[in-house]
Amino acid sequence: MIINPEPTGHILVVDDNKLNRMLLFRMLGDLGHRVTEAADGIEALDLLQAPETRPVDVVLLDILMPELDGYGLLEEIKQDARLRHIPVIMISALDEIDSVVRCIEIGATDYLTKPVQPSLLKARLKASLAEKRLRDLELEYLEQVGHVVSAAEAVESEKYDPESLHPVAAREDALGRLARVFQKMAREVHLREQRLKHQLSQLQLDIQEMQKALAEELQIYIPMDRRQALYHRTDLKTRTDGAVLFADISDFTPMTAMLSKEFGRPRGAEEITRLINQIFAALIEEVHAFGGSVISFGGDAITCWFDDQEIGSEPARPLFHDARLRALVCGLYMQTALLQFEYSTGWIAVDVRPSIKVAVVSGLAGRFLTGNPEIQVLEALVGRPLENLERAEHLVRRGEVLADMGTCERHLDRFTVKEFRTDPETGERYAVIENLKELVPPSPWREIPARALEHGVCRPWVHPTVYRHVLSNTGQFLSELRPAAALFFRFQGIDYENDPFAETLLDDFIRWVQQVVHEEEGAILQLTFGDKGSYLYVTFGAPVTHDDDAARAIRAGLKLLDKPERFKPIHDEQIGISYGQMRAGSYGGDARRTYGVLGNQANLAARLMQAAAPGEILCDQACRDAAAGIFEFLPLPEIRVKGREEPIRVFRPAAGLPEQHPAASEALRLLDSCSPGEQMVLKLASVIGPIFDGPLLIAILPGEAEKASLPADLRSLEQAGIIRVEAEGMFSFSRETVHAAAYQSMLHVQRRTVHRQVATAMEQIYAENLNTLFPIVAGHWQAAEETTRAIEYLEKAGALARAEGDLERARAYLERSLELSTSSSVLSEGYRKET
Amino acid sequence: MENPLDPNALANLLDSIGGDAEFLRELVETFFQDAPAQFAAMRASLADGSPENFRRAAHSLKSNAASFGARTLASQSKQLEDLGKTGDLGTTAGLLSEAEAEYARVRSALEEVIK
Repeated sequence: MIINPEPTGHILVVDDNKLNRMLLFRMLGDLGHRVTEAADGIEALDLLQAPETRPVDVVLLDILMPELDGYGLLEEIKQDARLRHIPVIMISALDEIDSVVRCIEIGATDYLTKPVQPSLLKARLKASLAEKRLRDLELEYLEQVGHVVSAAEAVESEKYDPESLHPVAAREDALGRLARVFQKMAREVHLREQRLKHQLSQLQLDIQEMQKALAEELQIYIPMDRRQALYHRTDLKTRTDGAVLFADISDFTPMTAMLSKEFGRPRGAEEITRLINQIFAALIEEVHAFGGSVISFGGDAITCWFDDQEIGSEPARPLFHDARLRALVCGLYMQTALLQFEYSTGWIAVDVRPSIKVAVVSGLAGRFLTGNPEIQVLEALVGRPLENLERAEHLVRRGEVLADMGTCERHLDRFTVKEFRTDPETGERYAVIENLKELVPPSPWREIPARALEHGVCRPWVHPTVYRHVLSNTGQFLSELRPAAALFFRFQGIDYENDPFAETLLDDFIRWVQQVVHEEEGAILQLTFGDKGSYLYVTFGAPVTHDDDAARAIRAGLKLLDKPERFKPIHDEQIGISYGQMRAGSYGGDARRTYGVLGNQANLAARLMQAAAPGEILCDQACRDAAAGIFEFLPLPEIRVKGREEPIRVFRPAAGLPEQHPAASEALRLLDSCSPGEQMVLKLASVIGPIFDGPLLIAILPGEAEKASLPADLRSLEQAGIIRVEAEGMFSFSRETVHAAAYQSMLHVQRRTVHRQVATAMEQIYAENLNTLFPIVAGHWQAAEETTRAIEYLEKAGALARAEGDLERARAYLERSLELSTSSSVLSEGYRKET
Repeated sequence: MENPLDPNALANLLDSIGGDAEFLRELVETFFQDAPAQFAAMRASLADGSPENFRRAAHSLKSNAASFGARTLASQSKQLEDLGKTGDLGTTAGLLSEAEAEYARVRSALEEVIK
């Protein structure tokens, strides 16, 4: 055996002549090649095509053979895509040169003449092998590039198989490196996704547990009869006979003033809430004891419904007496409860003597569910009794229970009638009742077993923002003073008594109003139906404050006056809007609760609504001042309203004025009026956020000169009213429009760069207490388009929120990070499939 | 009498197999086995008139003869092959006999070589 430094290969010798084969076998063996022999073309082709055959590098081919001859085999080889790149060297006799030419034309690489000279054989083979090797490399490279390309395609179509790249990743060249990086990325993304998903599923379990507990809280926001129906998986009748009880805490406004004076404003607000909740709790207890339901809260009043319908197969409450009597007795017990009421501040003894007025009327009423469940389901108690109720409210005085004759006539012998009163307008008679002569047993509601109502069933009864902001602190009556806009909207035109489509029309209309309100991020708090029409109380700014809540309210109001054609039957819309500090929070007791925004300003909005002409919006001065930069207002003559000694100034916002653009261009004008240095400060600050701090701003200022002039720039910006000083080293944009304009004035790449700088600077400057800033840092990294880092921080924020017990927030962070993770790359799809 | 084998060709052959005398013997013996079969095939073709078999046998004989430097035999085989190509086997009988006689000489000479 000759030691041969030359490349060797697998050679197939095809010759029918045994002697020739022996010779070639020997010579090729001596050259270090591996040799396979075939005695004719058929045998050779079988060998070449057999999958178990080791790939042949060169074919040495005789021309004249039985069966399939040299030409035939050569043609077969050249027609087979898997074989055509194998070099074929023809072996021919000297006198066969014509045949050789033909073979070369068919695709033979070269030829040798018999008898074969070893040196020539060696030379020809070397050339052919080199060619083959090059071709193989080329093919392999193309094939493996193909793997990477198809891996990339698989990634796009989410069918990536990590195994597919292993052969390519084993290469030592650039392609191999590309494949390895690709695999590593896919692996990391996959692992990250797995981790996030695992955390999410853990969190999901916690959330389910929490939601079960939360459902207990949520169901309190649902009227009791509805709650019972939900529990028994049945519906309440939409039209039902019964009694409406209205209980109003009298003189609440002076009481509020007294408590504010006693405790100061914020503490006063808390005390007022505490007081009203104590009163509500006592009243609700009586309502539920007599099988009634609190349908709605209206400021310092509740509207309750009593009827005799069965709910579910088992009686939901014992019905010893009809609904009218139960309502009347409930009214009397309410008064008794109030007489025994002792207000406890736990601090100072304050002499508070609350009293209530109770009015009861009855008849056939509608119990409609309205509103988009995605936003909030709103209970509507409608019909004649509600219209009568409003007149009864005017006739009842504090400490009294007043009922129309339809309600109390049959039961008058059970009470002492203090006096009969006649409505001067309608001539209708009412009785003021007292002293229950004989004990009437209560009809308490059956207890709904703990955790029997599911979270998903209860959720629609609570507005999403209220749900997030109030119920995340389970069991707490959060009450706070906050600036908000109150909008009261009254409309006429739905005949609840006679129109069979009233329910559909009302639902459709309420959903539209809800959408309009939702677009301005407000919430419908209250839905009331009376003889002077139906009205809605809408709030902007609670529980979430915007710096333009007054403008949002006006914008919504203008939209509400521009209703779609299908609501043609609805007419005489009146709107009142006010703006100011209000008490926002949960109201009621442990048995029934609502989210409310209360205060003099809310009352004022209701008065403005009453004063508005049909199709008109009236605003108070505070609302006008807050929205002055955005809307134009027409001042109207001063008016007097109930509850205010002085006449008040009112304004009508001008409809149809383009409101956004002037503000935006005004902001741009302001921006342009600044010096280049100040503009740069504003732009960089805008990336930090609407509120920004000095140290961070210094860190991202590009040069020493800019850093040096920062204090002066900030001072002059403050003097120009563009920014405000919030605290030592803390600033804010005076207007969101300027903040937005400064941010928008930068190119995308600039913003991206600055976000990156802010994120990096925050990591350094606030390294000590970065955990409170995780979500903010995440936001900056995301805006910097550094997804991995954003995910990292969101994950940390999620872990922290979870540790703090805020599971919903934790989930929100994790879901956002998972979203980022999958959107940034679906590389791990293959891994996902494997596991 | 003239040597039927070309010594140069034989030397080349031995050289191409690395001077392996034993392998040369194997080659020669293979030749001795194949050649009679080739003659027999040619004779059979003459009888049944199939020029293709005739030609292929002649071709192999030619190739093998050339490998050992049996020039005369190779040349005769080539003539036989060419005649086979024309398909006219009628004139080949004499030439075939001459080739057989030449093969006998070649065989004797080769036997000497591998002795």
